[in-house]
Amino acid sequence: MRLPWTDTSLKTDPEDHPDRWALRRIVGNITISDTQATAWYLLPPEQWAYRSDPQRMATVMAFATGLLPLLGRRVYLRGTTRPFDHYGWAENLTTLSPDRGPGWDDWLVGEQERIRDHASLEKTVYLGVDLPLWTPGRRMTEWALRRTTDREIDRLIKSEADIGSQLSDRLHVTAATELDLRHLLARSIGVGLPGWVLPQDAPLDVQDLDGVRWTSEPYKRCVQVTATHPGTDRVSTRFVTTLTLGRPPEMTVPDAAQPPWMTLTDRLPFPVEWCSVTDLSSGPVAAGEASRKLKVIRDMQAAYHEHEMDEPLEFERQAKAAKVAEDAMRNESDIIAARAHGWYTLTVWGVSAEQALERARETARLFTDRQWRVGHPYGQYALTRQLVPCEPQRFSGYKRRMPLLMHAAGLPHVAARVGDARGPVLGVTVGAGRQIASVDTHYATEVAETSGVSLIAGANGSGKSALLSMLAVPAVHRGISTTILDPSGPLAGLCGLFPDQSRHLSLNSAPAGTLNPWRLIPQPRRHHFERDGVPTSEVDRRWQDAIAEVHSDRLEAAMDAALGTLPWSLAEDKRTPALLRQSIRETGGAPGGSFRIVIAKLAQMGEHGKQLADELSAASEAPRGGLYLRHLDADELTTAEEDFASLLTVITFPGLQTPAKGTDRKYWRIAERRDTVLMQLALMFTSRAIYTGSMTTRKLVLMDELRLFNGDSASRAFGARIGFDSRKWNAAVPLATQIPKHHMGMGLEALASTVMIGHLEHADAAGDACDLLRIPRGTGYEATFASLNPNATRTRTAAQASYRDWVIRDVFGQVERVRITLPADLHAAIDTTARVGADTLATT
Amino acid sequence: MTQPLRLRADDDWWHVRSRWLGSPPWTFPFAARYTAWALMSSLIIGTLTADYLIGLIPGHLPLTMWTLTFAVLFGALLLRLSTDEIGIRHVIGIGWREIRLPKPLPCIDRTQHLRMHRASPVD
Repeated sequence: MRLPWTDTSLKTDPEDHPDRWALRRIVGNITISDTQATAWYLLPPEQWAYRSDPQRMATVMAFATGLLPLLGRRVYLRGTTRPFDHYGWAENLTTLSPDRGPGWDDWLVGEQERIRDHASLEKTVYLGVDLPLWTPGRRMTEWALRRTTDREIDRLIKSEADIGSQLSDRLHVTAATELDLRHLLARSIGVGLPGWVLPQDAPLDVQDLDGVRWTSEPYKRCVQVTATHPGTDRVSTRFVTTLTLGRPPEMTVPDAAQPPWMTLTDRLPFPVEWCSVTDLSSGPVAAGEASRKLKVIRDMQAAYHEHEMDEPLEFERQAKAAKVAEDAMRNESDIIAARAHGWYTLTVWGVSAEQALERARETARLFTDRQWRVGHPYGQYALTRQLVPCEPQRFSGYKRRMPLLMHAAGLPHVAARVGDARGPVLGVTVGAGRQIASVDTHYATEVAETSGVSLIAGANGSGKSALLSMLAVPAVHRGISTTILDPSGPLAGLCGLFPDQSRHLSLNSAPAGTLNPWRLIPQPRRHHFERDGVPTSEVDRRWQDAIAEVHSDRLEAAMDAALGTLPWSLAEDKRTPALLRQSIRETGGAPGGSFRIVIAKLAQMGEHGKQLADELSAASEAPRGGLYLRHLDADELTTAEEDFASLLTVITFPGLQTPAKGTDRKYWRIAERRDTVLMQLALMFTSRAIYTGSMTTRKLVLMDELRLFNGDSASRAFGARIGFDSRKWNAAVPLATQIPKHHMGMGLEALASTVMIGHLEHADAAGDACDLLRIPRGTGYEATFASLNPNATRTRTAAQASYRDWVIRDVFGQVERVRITLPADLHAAIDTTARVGADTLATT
Repeated sequence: MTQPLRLRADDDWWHVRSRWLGSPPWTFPFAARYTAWALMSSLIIGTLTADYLIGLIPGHLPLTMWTLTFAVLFGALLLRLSTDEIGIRHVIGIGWREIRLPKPLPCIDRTQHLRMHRASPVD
């Protein structure tokens, strides 16, 4: 079969095209030529960034151990890239969003355009293993018949199955599918050509490969790869050039300061095709070669002595190194003794020879800066053809010889991946390569069956509001009920994006008693505990236990609110907690309670009780104090369903006066004490959104300003409740604050499924962030948090950067640095950056 | 094994600077690679044989000297192109393949081939 768009002039003509592709047949994941058969597998991505040295060492050792069954074989590592499949992503997200909300189609198109703009390339690494060749007699038969017989194919398949099962156990590889092989061949034969793919509507045929023409001038540094696009006469040409790695430096494995050497090119802004062809040999086999080489060195030393000349010092150094290596090959364990001898090439391309060569120089610089030698030899045509599966090894210069462990330390399959690859796009990774980071807020509760709590921490200007809006807006488009508590208020601007589906609730204008602690914590309902197969008595027992727990939580919340409201002198008095506890307990934990009853009971508890009652009563007369200290009349009572009926609810609480950080509580002013209590109660009010609707309905509840939770018992109870209930109620609960310690004060570090850390400068805060991310503390990662806000660094450009970087630990435990750029419409809706300009002056 | 390791490639001792210094006690004033000796010997013997076969030997000493000179220069060029990473054999192999490459289709500038036809000669 021939490509339908192939121009007649480009057809393969043996006379014009003396080097036809060697590939003759593809069976399953095996590519077969006249002289070799190779089985291809896909290596799963490995994490490298933000891991400890022992973890990294374990990764290297695991890869090296996985290669041990391949000793005595030729092994290929082919690193390639493919554009992010935004169409498949959109299709999948549509399926995952059955209750799609307003503006879904437009939003989805915009998101796909955003993905395309990111130019993200998904890294794919293939592992190829040569299978035993045919016997000479059989090969002659094959040569005569020019085809493979079924018997030989059966033998190859059996051989592949043996190797595949071993590799699957050790390296968790998967056999390459036909689609994977199509991709590999397209990226190898059509290297650099934009959009050149093999036909998808028919079985793969090796003649399909003739659609591309490779040409070159003698002794030029570039190969021209040309194809004609289907249906048009448009001809695409790319200039391709290949580098080959020379002598490597002495290296530390693992190197804390460097990524694995085969992933250095992931940082480049253009794609690079990697190819390594190595013969793996066991220690004793390699030791024979080492002995012969040692003899050559000794002979040269002897020759210099015979001629009474000073021998070059390198001989003694080489002899010593050869002896050490030979000893290791003979006496060390397999993993230390084994050797990898082969070639490592890197292929880049450009629309012109100049661009290709400039890219080659940039690629070479990556290695030469690290003391590697890099060759850019003549013979580019033969060298570049080695990318293509089954091509014979025609270029044999620049052969490397190294321990298997050094080869394994290259870890070509390390990739910067974070996210669940199914949710809305948050940004792109910027550590080692640009990969799309997508986060489905409900992956944790629905698939991973873990807590839906996400912890967000970042200093002022780190982009918390932007991040929260990036989580909230896609959720609203997906039809997920979304509630945001944003005390300072800029996120209220999001309501403008959904005018018919949103509600802005300002607690400043809410009726007195709205934040009454007895009302805030929802009463458990019996049907929530009913499960198939659970007896009625057990359901009742669990329900009553939950009610008792909720009553206790209400009393704790009321106790903390009362103590927080009282002046320091009264709160510190030893009699105060006892009287408050007694009066609150007498009020009971049932939903009908209020501070009005508590105050009445305190007034009957002697002189000190009366003093407490007076203080609370006076505080309740202020409008803000009345929000939680006064009673809400029955006709004003609203249920959580009524409060959070809109698809998007934004709760704001502007004008709160919170105490300065580090100020002793005894110096807090009345308003500061009261507003601190109010903020804690507002968070509890917002958390009621978790309990709306059915338990399986998706909910997203975002809360900012968690810093006002001071680690008291009510804070921990609140944290524990939302931690456990988020999973039961299918609620994603991102919680944001300025320093990570606030999350720890609520006991949430062990419950969170996702952690997002933004710009942090304080050393202690950065250390706490390491603990939250579960990355080693004190190994230098703290410094990276100070560089996450480009506008807060000295090296920033004149224009304010429109992005912020975040370090994210996803539900799988993968940690990566992600760059988040706010779309223009969201930026306009929530922009909080202070600027001096015409607009500002006009409004002031 | 969790401690970091220092690893060196075997390339450090693989490429040995082997030179023939001469046969003791006679030491050459220069040190050339064994491969250089082999190459030059082959070229000189081959050239002399060819000269003999085509009748340049004996009787045409200047021509014989010229062919030998070219052979030595050609050998020197091959040696110059070879390194410890790309041996002589590979240099020859690359050269052989480079001259057999599929060339890009010539891009013909047809304007060079246009001739103006004039009804009458230019005055």
